[in-house]
Amino acid sequence: MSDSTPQRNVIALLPEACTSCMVCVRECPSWCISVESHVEEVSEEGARRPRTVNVLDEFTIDYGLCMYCGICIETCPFDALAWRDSFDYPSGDRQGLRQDAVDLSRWWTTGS
Amino acid sequence: MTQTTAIIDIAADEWVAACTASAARGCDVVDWLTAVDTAESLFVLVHLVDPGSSRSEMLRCELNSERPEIASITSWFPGADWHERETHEMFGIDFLGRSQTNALLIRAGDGLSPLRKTAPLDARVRTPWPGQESATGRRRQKLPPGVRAEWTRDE
Ligand code: SF4
Ligand code: SF4
Repeated sequence: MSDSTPQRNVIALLPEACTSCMVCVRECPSWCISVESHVEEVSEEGARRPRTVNVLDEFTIDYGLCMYCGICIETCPFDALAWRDSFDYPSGDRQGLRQDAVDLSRWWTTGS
Repeated sequence: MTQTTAIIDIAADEWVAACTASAARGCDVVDWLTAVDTAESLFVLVHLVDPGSSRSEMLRCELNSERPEIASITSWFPGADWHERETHEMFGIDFLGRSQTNALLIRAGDGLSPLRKTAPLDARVRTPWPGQESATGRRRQKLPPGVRAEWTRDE
């Protein structure tokens, strides 16, 4: 670990990289990640039949349950999750501790 | 600093002799004693340290997981008392020849050994697992990790 390793403060999501594969959801020991997605067909020129891709609809982490183990970040096969240094996100109520894809993706660029 | 201590495997009937032999070599303080349930096997482990140096020895004994019992070492190591009580309570291991095994945390007589792999994880059975559905709506994996099929049958 170098000094530049971010502290375990907040988890950032890069939605473009997320394939909705559910690996993080299934590996999270606290069961605090949920992913909603649907399947779309993509036709590509020259391809004989359309490809099916998962499209991410919602990604939520409940920080009221997260224990900051980092397993989701370690196991994501697509590097769509990362630690960021910000810690300024507490909330006075349970609902406010549930961060959705918009909240989580904001940390990717602004989380220092 | 990371220091690794080799595990020495001991037969159940040599447990006390092996622990007192460690003490004779200088490792006469119980750092901790606990058990490990790997689902295939059940072990009791003790970490004995020499307070005068950084030396330590780790002894391990495989137990019969149906009727787990082993001799208590509290007559030679009073510091093992609390650990044996906790290990008895959490893993259902009987430590033979000790005066008291009253429960520390859970009600006596429940027959529950919460740290054994066979102990049902009620909350995990009842809580909906977010990993069940995939994008296609197919249930790729029916049960969450650590949850056994037989726990869910009467739900
Ligand atoms: S850090 Fe651990 S507990 Fe938190 S969301 Fe990731 S896997 Fe779950
Ligand atoms: S493991 Fe990575 S790619 Fe898969 S759902 Fe989680 S964040 Fe998305």
